[in-house]
Amino acid sequence: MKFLPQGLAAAAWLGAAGIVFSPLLAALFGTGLETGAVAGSFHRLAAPLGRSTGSALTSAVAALVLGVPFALLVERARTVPKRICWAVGLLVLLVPPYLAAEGTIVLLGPAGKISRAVAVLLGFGPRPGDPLEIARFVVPGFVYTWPAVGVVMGGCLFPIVALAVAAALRRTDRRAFESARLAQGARGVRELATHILVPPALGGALLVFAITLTEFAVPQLLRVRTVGEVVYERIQEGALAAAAAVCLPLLPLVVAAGALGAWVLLRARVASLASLEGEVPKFQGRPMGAGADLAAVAITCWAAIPGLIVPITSLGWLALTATIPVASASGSHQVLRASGFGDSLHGAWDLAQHDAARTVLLAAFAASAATAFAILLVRLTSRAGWGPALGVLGAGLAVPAPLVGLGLIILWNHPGSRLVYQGPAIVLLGWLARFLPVTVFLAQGALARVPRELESAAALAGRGWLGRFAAVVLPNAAPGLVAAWLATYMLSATEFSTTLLIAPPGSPLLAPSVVNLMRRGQDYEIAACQFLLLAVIALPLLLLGGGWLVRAWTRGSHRHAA
Amino acid sequence: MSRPASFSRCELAWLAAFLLLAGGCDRRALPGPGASAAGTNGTVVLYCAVDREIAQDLIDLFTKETGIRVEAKFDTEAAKAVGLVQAIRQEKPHPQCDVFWGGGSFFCTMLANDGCLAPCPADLVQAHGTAPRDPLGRWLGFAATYRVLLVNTNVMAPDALPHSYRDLADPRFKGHVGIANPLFGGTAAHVAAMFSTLGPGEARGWLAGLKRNDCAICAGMADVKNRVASGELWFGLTATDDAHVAMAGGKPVKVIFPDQGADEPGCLNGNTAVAMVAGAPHPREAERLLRFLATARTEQALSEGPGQAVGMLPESLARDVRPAWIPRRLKTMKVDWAAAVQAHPAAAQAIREILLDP
Repeated sequence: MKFLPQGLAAAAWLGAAGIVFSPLLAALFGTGLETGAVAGSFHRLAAPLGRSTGSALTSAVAALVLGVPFALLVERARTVPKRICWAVGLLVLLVPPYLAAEGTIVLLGPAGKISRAVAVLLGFGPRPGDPLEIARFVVPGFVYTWPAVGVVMGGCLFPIVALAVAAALRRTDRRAFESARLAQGARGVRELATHILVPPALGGALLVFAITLTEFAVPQLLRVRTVGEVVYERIQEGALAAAAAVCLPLLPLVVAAGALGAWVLLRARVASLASLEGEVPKFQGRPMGAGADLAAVAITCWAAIPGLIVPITSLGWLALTATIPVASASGSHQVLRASGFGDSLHGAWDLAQHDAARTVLLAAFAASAATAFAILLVRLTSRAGWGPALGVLGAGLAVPAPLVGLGLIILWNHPGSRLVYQGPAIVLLGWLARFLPVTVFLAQGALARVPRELESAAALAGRGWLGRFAAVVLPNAAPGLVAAWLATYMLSATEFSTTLLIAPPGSPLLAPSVVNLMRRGQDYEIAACQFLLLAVIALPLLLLGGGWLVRAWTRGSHRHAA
Repeated sequence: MSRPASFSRCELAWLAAFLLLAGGCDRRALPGPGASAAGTNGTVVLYCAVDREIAQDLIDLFTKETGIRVEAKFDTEAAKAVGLVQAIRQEKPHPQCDVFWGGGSFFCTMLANDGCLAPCPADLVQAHGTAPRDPLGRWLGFAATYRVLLVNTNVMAPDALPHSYRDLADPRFKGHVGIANPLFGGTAAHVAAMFSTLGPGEARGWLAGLKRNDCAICAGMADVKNRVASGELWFGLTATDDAHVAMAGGKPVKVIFPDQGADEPGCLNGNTAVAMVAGAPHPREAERLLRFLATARTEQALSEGPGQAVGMLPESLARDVRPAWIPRRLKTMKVDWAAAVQAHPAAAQAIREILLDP
């Protein structure tokens, strides 16, 4: 009888691997693999590979440094500050890293608004009275380096680590901490916390590592030549197989990282409710007060600096200080004709409103499909004892976005698959190929923390597979699964490198449209376009937040009435 | 007991969302070549590397005049040249695109060499006058934009301004100049054109000079414009349309059309181009769109709009279609684009060896 679950698990794993790796295989073999060209593609790859790995490692460390304290301190705060801090933390995930990189250059670059002012304040500025020297003063620095790429990427992606850690923390019975404290004092609490929190934190950091490894836009803006750039070069030269081959050295790195993440996650089962019930006094944790709230707000402000505060400040600066030009263009569609931030926003909305609606729906659908499939995949593989095999899927993150797009064209542009290729399904396939590993990882983390004893109890009580899943698994894993959904939604909605290649003609999506509009924009137009992108993508979050507020208010009214 | 109810609401919401999605996104006519969509005179698929804010008015006008619906797919500068050009290449066995607009002479020549483009109608080629075009008529160039030096006037004294592309390698400006990544997009075309026009020796020397001068390799021409406008760079190589954004935005910048001296090669013309895709699914509609786009009227619109293009077609030359700030009688580099495409692999290798990974 073990054969059936194993067969289903194998089918699900093969399906996931097919979705994730088929574009790479199509790119590698679909255009004819020339051994000579592939061998030549590795020439002079060491330096870009080193920079990619260095920036990816830095981003993983940055995500850990920001994400773990964020989760720990925010989880200790009272309900309202906690929710506000989490909303801010999730907003960080909304900001596409290329916007954060641009904001970093504007504020902290050699001619940055902040860096130059600070340098002058510290006495490093030029002699006063010489306007040419003052204008020429720039701050040599950190921005155009590979560690800066890592800091920007880690700053934008730290919520992935924070979500993983918080999900682990929320599913942990606090009485386990009290037991550890009674048995071994502070050392026991530290050891237990390490046991519970290190695996998800490490797993999240590995994801951040993998995502940064093949990032293209941020290194380009920060003038760092990485593997992503080499892949783009090969594609431009028409050597698609060579471009795909360039990714191959990255795959083992990411597979190792992903497998390690999956392994540590599976080892990290926490003390369950059932085994401790009634044996220790109920543990409420430390009393939470204003101090905890202040600490949560402080860590939120600190963690949000690279991924949210810098780009938003830069955006506000652009909008406020822009000189409004004399209208220089004619026609009804030119955003350039606008006369300020508001008009630009209106113009951008006029052009891209349908793209926005389409993007929100499609990204929400992609996130839902990915989360549902990830739950099925994780449940089946863990029942078959193949959990670590899911780490292999992480290698999909090492496939650069344009390769995914071009591979999908090779795979699906055939008369027999016209329905897929000419409709939204091709975009869904592209987003799943890129982000399903992220969803699977977060879902695996969420589901690994559901106490098996509760499921066994439900089974003894006569609940079937679906009943156990709905009554036990889903409620216990909900925070982590919501995190998986949100991460997939946001990554999909802001993706443009694959999207612009495969989006059906006449059905443009928001991120490519906004990036296209921003290219020729005045400062306030760029600010308006960025604002539009963020606002539209944040819409589901705002709706969720609004729903929560209404529910909280309704509950309050009912209690009051009672 | 409340959980099942909330589940079914959720399911209903997603079902509704999917139905909306399916209805909203798949507007494309699914039947094969030449099929007409209901309620219109047909459909044409346009892959448009020209920015959307520039192209959209013209697309709307075409639909209004002909009743033919345009299914457009746009590129972004961030995707460099791996966007629509590569999509057309990969779709070659089963083309989805009818008309490709943008990419310039360089990338259209690449596509033509790959057998992705069909010949334009002979009368249209003949009427093209002196404007650039493929010798076999597979693409038509029009609407000139120029590669210029954008200078920050706050940081450069008026008597020390650069006047040539060679000044990017001048040690006086070491550490203060920038170009877009020469492996991608318009700057890739520019360097390939220099290799074919000046010869590999001189072009390689120029690249070595850029390296010695710590030339900043920016993310694109718009990025060069931003860095010059902020004062981070003193001057850089960009396009007239990007330079115009900085000027119109009141930035302290000045545009220099380089190499205008008698013994200098002239500035590069990065005109746009339009072509029909070989095996296009809607050939009749494609030809109508081609005839609509390759006209003086389009050049006039591009000149007045944010594209800031200069007319090159016979009628535009007669009417002198140009933005007022771009001078008449500019000396432009004489480029054989077929030779430039041939020189591209050597140019790319030199860029990697000399400038990027020495």
